[in-house]
Amino acid sequence: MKYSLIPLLIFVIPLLASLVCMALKKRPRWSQEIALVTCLATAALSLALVPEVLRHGSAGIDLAWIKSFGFNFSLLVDALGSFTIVTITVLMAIDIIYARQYMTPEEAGSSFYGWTLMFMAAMVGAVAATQLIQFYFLWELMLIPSTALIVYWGSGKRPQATGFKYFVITHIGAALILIAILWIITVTGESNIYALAGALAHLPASTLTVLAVLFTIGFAVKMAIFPAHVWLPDAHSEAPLPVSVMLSAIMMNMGIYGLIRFLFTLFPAGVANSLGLALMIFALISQWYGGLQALNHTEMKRVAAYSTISQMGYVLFGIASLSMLGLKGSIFHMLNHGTAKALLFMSIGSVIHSTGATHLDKVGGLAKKMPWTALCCSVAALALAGAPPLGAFQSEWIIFAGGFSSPYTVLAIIAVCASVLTAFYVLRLVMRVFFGHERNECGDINEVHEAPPAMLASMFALSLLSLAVGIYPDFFHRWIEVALQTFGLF
Amino acid sequence: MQSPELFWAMRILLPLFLGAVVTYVIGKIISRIKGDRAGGVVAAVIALVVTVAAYILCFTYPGAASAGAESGIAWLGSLKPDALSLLMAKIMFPLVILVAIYSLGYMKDDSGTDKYYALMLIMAGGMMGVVGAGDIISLYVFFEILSISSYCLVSFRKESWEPIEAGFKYVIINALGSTVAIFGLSLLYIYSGSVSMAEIAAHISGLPDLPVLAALALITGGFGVKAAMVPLHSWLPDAHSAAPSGISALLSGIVIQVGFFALLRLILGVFPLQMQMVGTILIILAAVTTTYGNFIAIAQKDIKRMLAYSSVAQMGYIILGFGVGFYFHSADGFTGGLFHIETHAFMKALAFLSVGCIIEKTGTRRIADLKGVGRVMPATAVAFTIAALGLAGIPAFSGFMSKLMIYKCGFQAGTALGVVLSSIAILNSIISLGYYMPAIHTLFSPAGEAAAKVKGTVSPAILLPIVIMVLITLVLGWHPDLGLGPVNAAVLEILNIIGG
Repeated sequence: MKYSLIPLLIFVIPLLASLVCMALKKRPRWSQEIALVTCLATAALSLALVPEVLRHGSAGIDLAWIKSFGFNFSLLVDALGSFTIVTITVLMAIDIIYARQYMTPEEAGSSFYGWTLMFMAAMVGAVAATQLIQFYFLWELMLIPSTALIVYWGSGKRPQATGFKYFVITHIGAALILIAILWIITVTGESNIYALAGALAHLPASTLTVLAVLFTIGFAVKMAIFPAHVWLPDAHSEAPLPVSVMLSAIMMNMGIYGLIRFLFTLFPAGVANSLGLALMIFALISQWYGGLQALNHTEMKRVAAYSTISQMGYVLFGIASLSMLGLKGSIFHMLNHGTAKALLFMSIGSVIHSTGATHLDKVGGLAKKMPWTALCCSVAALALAGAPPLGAFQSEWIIFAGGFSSPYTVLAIIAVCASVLTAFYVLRLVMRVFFGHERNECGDINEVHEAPPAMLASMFALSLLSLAVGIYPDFFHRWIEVALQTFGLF
Repeated sequence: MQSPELFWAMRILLPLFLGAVVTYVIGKIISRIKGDRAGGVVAAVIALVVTVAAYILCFTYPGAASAGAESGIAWLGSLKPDALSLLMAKIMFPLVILVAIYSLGYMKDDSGTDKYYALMLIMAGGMMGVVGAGDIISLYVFFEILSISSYCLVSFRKESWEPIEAGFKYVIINALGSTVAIFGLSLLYIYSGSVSMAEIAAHISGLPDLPVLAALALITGGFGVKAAMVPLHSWLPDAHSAAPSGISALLSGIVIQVGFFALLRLILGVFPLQMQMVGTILIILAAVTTTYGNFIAIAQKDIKRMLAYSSVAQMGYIILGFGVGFYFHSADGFTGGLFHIETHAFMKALAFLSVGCIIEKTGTRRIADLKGVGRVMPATAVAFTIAALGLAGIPAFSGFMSKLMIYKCGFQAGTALGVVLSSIAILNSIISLGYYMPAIHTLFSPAGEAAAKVKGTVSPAILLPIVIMVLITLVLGWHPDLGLGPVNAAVLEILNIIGG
């Protein structure tokens, strides 16, 4: 481990900034600027950490925390962690830029930015956490800000009920994680995630399987894998748009990160193997269920939300294939799905912002009025459908290749077929909204205008990111390979 | 050099009981001359001065180092304060002080508040007597002082019928508990010929099993009533919901814990040989108490009754910590139990105080009627939210840290039973979300009738204790070491006694 302050800074700066924003109750405009600067600084710092991590393997810092429990507060970022953190912070920075024009500072209020920054701090902290209890603490710390964002700024009929459902169901998942964590600490006496692999190897296989199942279910709830997906459609579609982006494109990565980190670096290889087939089946169900539901709904945000369930199915499929390729694809898909899903949500957001329509059958032919949004939405749709040369193509084919290298070729074929379904529902959305006869049932069609500049800028940034990753994936491949080397499984 | 006994008598008990008299007399005189309200304020100020002074004196506790100093006063043998007593004092005094400040604002329109503050001091004195008691007689007598003052306080607002009825139920069931307990204590006296706990403990190993077990059962049952262990809890929801909110906070936050403490003191002082069995009994009672309390709380429509049942459930956690501690001989169990007493005291008091403020403004206790109150009184509602999330054991609040220790001690035992117990505890925390979250949800729903009734701002005397308790809950949630100092000392004391 290389001593580095950056992991601490990227956790503490947003946390402090969130408190400052909360305190500046009367000055939402200031909070907005503070949030922007903080997010950009955090993104820059996390990017600055990348070369160091690639050179030294990991970087971090160790501080004393709760002496009486014997817990430290140590933050450590390795290649997997830095990939996740960079995804989180970069997408968050772009999302904050988008939020500036989607909501006026007065609409949002200071606390919107306060909660957002706290949410980001908790996510970054959880990824960088090295102690099990510290991980759980920060993992749960994500819950309060995200619930507050859904409840206070939610648009549905009953945002409280949605927030309640979200809180309780994901908390149940977290409780399973807590049980597993406490069990591990007491049985092995080791609480450092990075030192656990050796300690766990001595446990009986039955205990390990139970632990692995607890972790898997816990993280699958956060990933909204069928049948633990019930909280997602409401939460993601009723949250205000910038928050939908945070939940769908950014927070989902936490579930993926947790599953990969805990299932693969902690447990001996045999344990994951015993779960492979079951996980693969659930992955397929999620993929197909999410896709069919997305096709079934006409509310645009709900389509995107169900698409997230389906996409998480892809990711889990890659993980469940238990192959080097599948895992690589899943990790890579964190960034690519995040980018594409954020872009899809943002373009839906611009449509809602300018027409007031929330259902895709209420509008049509908007491409002439909002050409750039139409372009960005198409990029997002093509990316999700796995079309080259966009980023998601790079990760999806690796996931499928991983699937075919597993013993279950039939299941891999079914998974590939689901990508046709994906193409179908995303392109349906683009066709209905942007092409065909020009109309707007929710307002005057002549008043429909292109999205304001900051929103467009963040959409362009995401489109370019997706394109750049698709055309030049080499760097990311190397990055993820470094991450996978630490697993020592394959 | 001062002995701990003399210290406890002169610097803790004497100021409280003497203070009660002074508070009442001066308060009465002032209220005769200047009217009820002025009398109440003066009484409150005197009570505050006394409690703050006693609290500060707490920190001059001489400690066991000078325990050898003979005082030569015979009656001092009836006291035997130790680190455990000191821990309870350090929890109780801040709570009483904050509640007294709160009552300044909350009770300002009540009549006879001079009596209220005097009773509160007597109650505090009773509690300190129980925790510092060294023989079974003083334990029992101080407990009765505590009980009688709390009966009066529960029924303090005697204009309406509900507090009277609740107080009556409280008196009858608790008197029954006291009777059962004194049966047990008498058995001990008959067989050992002594009232001092140390001497009884010395005799008890030579006694036949049956009377010892009978005494243990009677004492557990008797003090079980006071600690509100299911199925002996039936008085609690009525009493805690009918009392004025400040008193509910004290009852739920510390009085039932003192009830358990009396039992703990007797177990430690008299029955150290039956540790394993006591552990089993406590574990079973705890699991039943927590689960029952949580499920019944879900069904409550009245917010204070909901909190009262939540106290039943939380008592279960505390008892679970001790049960596991005794059964598995684990220091972590005791730490968890004691730390949960500490964190729960402030969280539950915070919940009751903020709810009291909401009830005062809206005039209703039905959860369904409180729609939208959070939007007109945001600070209070946020305080309630913090308390509720803390009680549910969500990280970032103090309740998580203490519950974590309790969860951990079960796993640490390393047996199937321990794992099951911890899992029950964790699942119970989720069940408890089933009533905290809807309550929070209602508070922040779009405005309803009750919200429209809210007028004026909350007085600073009410807000100040709420803010302080919010800070305590948050600080202990991030940095529990700050509150663990006295707890660790108390755990060492327990381990000394049971030889761990």
